[in-house]
Formats: sequence, structure tokens, C-alpha cells
Amino acid sequence: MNFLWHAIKKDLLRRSREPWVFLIWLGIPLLVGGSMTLLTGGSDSTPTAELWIADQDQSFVSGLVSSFFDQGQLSELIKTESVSLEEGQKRIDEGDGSALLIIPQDFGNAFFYQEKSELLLVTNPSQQILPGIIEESLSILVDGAFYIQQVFGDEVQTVLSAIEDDPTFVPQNTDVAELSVKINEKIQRLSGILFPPLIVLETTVEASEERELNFALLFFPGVLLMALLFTSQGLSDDLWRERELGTLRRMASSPQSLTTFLAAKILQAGIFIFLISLLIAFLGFSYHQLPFGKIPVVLLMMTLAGMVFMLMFSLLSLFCPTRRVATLINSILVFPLMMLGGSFFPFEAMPSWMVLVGQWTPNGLVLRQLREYLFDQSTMASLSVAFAVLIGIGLLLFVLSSYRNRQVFSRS
Amino acid sequence: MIEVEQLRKQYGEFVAVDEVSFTANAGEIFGLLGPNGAGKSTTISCISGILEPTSGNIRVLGHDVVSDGVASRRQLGIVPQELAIYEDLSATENLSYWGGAYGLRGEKLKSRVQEVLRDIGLLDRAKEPSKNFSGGMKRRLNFGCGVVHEPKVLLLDEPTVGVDPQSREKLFDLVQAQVGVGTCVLYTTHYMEEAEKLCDQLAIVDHGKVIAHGTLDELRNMFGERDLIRLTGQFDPSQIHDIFQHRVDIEVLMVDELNLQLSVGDGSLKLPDLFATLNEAGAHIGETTLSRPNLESLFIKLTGKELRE
Repeated sequence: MNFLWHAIKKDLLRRSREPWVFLIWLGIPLLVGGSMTLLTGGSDSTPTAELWIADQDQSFVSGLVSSFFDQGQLSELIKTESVSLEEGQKRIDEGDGSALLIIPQDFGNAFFYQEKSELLLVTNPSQQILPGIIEESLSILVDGAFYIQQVFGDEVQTVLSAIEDDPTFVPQNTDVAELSVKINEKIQRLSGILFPPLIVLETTVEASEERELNFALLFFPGVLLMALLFTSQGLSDDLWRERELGTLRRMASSPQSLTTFLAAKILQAGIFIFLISLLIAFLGFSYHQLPFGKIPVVLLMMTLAGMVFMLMFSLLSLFCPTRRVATLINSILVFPLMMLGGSFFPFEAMPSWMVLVGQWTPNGLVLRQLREYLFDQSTMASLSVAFAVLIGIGLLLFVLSSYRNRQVFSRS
Repeated sequence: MIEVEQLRKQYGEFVAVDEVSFTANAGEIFGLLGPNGAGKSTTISCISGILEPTSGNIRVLGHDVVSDGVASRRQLGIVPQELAIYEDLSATENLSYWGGAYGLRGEKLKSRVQEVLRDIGLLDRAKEPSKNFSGGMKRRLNFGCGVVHEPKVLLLDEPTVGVDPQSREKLFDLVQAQVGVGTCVLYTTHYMEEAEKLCDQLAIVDHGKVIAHGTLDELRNMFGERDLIRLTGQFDPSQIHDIFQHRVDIEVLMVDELNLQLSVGDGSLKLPDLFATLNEAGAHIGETTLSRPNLESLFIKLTGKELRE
């Protein structure tokens, strides 16, 4: 036990003589994370859809359709702009905007005469959610128009017939009064349903603890994992360094066990990973206003995972013929792991096939657990299983690495 | 003490150490002298427990290095051929770490570190990272790391390779100091002068085998009181063998087209006669060296080649 601490102290001392390495392992993930946060706005602002409207009818009814999107809360979500058909199609073809709404000629007349007419909505395939919101809103508008036709169709027909019979038709006060009375009667009849509605929907919005997720927040766990991969890969090089220094061979001729020697390296790595995770977690939790009470579990998960990753890289390097080959293989491995495992892009921004693969990479698995914990989607049971699995894999890798180091690596 | 019996280390078909046996005693330096690749480092690796012997027995102070490895390694100090220090740590930190690896703790460790720093002449630069040291200083620190725990048996594997003459002398003093406190030292080298200067007992090894064994005087006697004459030039080997085969006072140790080495009684007196004989045989002599009998003469006599080949 004494030697274990002695060896940990020695490795920590050696690390303290290389502050630049520490800064690089810390700096790269922070730089990437910071850049991505800045690129994506990094705030909780609601995204806005852009709807181009090509109104080829220019009627009263088509005007109502256009102005529908400028009403109330919808106007905060959807920004509209009137464009010509050509301009609208050009913009959508260039991937600009969320959707193009084409209102055909005679749309107004078709509405009044209850004839068939089609509104055409062209959506931008590169966006998924915002065009969906426009489509849904438009569908509500069309449904509303249908019911207006059903309820007030007779009255509209009366006015239109009078105009068709005599284009110079000017309604008398009695006609207007009669029409108004009919409309009023229908409204009175429906008022029991509409004002207030028969079904009262009471909505209670609980003060939700669930956070609104934005890109930067989704990316934050990936940044932690990126730091973890960089650090553990870098630390795994130490066995090769010791071998090249001749100190590993000297240790093999000492009365101390090489298993203790390796254990000291892993524990030293754990301390180092803990410090790096603490720094990044503190910055991330502060920026995203995450509850600081979650930090201990996050740090425990990161430290354990980092030690497991270090063992994984170490074991691989113990089978390599030279230090250069070991570094090359681990570098070749670490970047695809980061790409697939959600460290460069959140899973939400990745194609589904990539997510399927990425979630099963070692870092992808840890990332999933970390995100579930951070975003309140994990249970104590799932968390316990995750820790047990990490410890189990870590022990297995330790036994294999220790055996390889003892039997072959330190003696060649 | 170290007892090596019938040690054999084999890698596939290649035999690195072949039935080597010797005993090194406390308070003396036992030298393993031989060219590079003779099996000296492999022998040291087997004694230190880094390599497991294919067959044979090794005991360090009575502890078998295979079955009682930890106890035997506890008695050992090793100074490897290549540097084995942490260059980003200071001399004090290096010595403390290696002392701790051999079980020293607390005040005992601190006082030993100070003693060793003084002995190896690094007291004034004790806190400096050792990467700033000269080659000789690093070598001394490398030595210090091997003796900080006061081992009863010290293994020195070619400790002076690449060391400047001044540092070499300092290392010799350090080795002698260890012997002075009763340490058993096993010293491997391919420098004949070092072996002659330091070692009480010697084993000359070549191709994994001990080809001669004894004290320096015993080994010298094997060569007799004859001088070694080395000649370079142009020679016909078969003719050289013919003209000297009946001469009891001159023995051909080695000959090829460019080199001739002879063992000659009263070499300086025989030189004129020797030159005349060689001239008659059509040889062209470029350079001649006459030296007193030494370990190298013996090595050439036993193997037909020079120690540094």
C-alpha cells in the first residue's frame, strides 16, 4: 500500500512537470465545445420558421390566409414574407427558408362557391421541425375555413347569388338586417358550444424541472467525453514511456509487484481525469445553469470511465511492437470514436444509422448514461447498473493489461 | 553472494547463455568480460529476475531467483546498461522513488538520499530536473538509484558505456566504495582495462559460454609470460601457418590477409628475426604493436578474435 501511494506520487510529480500537456487535453475540448456553442447561438432562444407566401390570387380570402400566420403567438414562431412564385421557388431550391406557400388564382372564388381548390406548401427538406409547424398551422386554417363554409355557407351563397344576378346590386337595409339576424341566430345557437365551449380544457403547466434542451446543452456531455478520450489516450502512453526510459525494466527487477505499479498508474490517471473533468464540468454547469448537486455523480462517472478508457488504450498499446505504432493506432481509434460517439456532434444532429452505431461505442454508451443523468431521464437503478458495468469492464481490462505487462511487455 | 549453476537461456533455437556457472562472493567484484552479444546482459537479466532461465539455478544470498523471487530481488541493486531514470524528476526525487521501491521510508529514506547525493557528487544540483544533467552526471545518478537502498548484491551491466574518462573514474570509486562495505558486485564489461583494474574474479564469456574463469593472475598465467605482437599489412595465411608451425617460441593466434597476431616469448628481442622471416615469406608489414600479456591476449588466444569485434 505504501508503494502504491509512493508510485502515484511519483507519476503525479511527473505530470506536474508537463503543464502544457494538461492544457492541451483541457483546451481542445473546451475550444471545440466553445466554438460549437458560439456557432449554434448557444442560447435558449426559440427557433423561427420562415414562410414565403406566393399569393397569385390577391383576393380578400387569400389576404386572410396570409394574415393568419401574423396573428398572436404564431407570429412569434413563423415569420412570413410575400414573394413572387419564381422568387419563392428559387429561395426554397437554395435551401433558404422553411416553406413556400402557393395560393393559386381564383382561390377566393373557389372558397366562396365551395369549389375545389388546392393550397400548395413546398417545404425545405433540410429542416425537419419548423416546416412541420407551418404544415400543422396551415392544416388548422383549412379546417377552420371548412367549418365556416359549413355554418355560414347559406348566407354567403345569398350574397353571391344577388351579385351574380345583378352585378350592380346594392343591398337594402332590410336585406342587411335579415342577413345579420340569420347570422346572429346561428351564432346564438352555437354560442352554447363556442362561448364558452361545452368541453372545457383545463391546462395546468407544472413548474417543470426538465430543462429546455438546446444544441449547446446537448453538446456539453460530448465535450466532457471528448476531454476524457484525449486525456485517457494521452495517459495510456506512459507504459511505453517508462519502457523507453528503462524505468519499467528497473521496476521489474525490484521487489515490488508490477501489478501494483500498474494500479498506481491507473489511480494517478484517475486523479488527473478527475481534475480535468472537474474543470470542464464546473464551466459547463455554470454556463448552462445546470444544478451543481449533480456534479459529484458526473465526476464519479467521468473518472471511472476515464480510467476504463485509459486501460483500453493501454491494453492495445501493450500489444504494439513500438511506441510509435501504439500512438498511431490509438490516435486512429480515438477520432472515429469521438465522431461516432457523439463528442463532435450531438446524437440529435447525426444521421440515424450513425446514432445506432455511435450509441454502442464505449464513449457513446457512457455519453448516453451521462446525458440521461444530466437531463433527468435516468433512474437510480439504471445508474447503478451503469456504474457496475464500468467497474466490471475496468477490472477485466486491468487484469488483462497487468498480465500482458508482467509477462511480456516489461521483460522485452 | 551470487551462485549461478548451469544457467541456460534459450530463445527458440538461439542459445543466449549456455551452461554458465560461477560464484561471486561478498566484498569482491566478479567480472563478466566478453564482447557485445556474448550473453552478459542476459545473465544479469536472469539474476535480476527480469528473465526466467530456461534451465539451471541462480541463488542470491541463498534465495532462489525463480521460486523465491521477491526475497532475492530485495537483496539486489541493479545499474542497467542504459539509463533508467526519470529525466523530468530531480536527482532527489529519483533517488527517493527508487529507495521507496525497495522499502525505504521516512527519515531513513531521506538520510540515505542525502548520503547518495553526496557520494555521487550531485548534492549541489539535487533539486534540478535530471534532464539538465550531462551524460556523466546522469550515469552517476543511474548508479545512485541502484545503491540507494544499500543492496547486499549489486549488478552493474556495462555501467561505463559512453561515459567520459572523468566520470568513469568517479564510477570506479563508487564501485570500490560498495565493495568496501561488503557488497557483492557483479560487473559486466567489454572493456578489458576495466576488468583488469576492478575485478577480483573474472569469467570470460563468448557466445553464451564461459571460456575462462579465475582471478586475474590465474587468467594471465593461462597465457604465459609471452608478449602479444599485432601486425597489419598483407599476409598469406597458409604460408604464415607453414613458416611458424615448427617454431615453439612463436605461436600464431590469428591471421587473415590483413592482420596477424602472434604470441611471442621475449617479443622485443625477437622482432628483427620475425620481420626477416616474414619478409622472406613475402609478407608486407604496415604496422606493428607489441604489448605485454593481458586479458585481451588471452581472449584472442582462446577465441581467435579481438574482444571488441
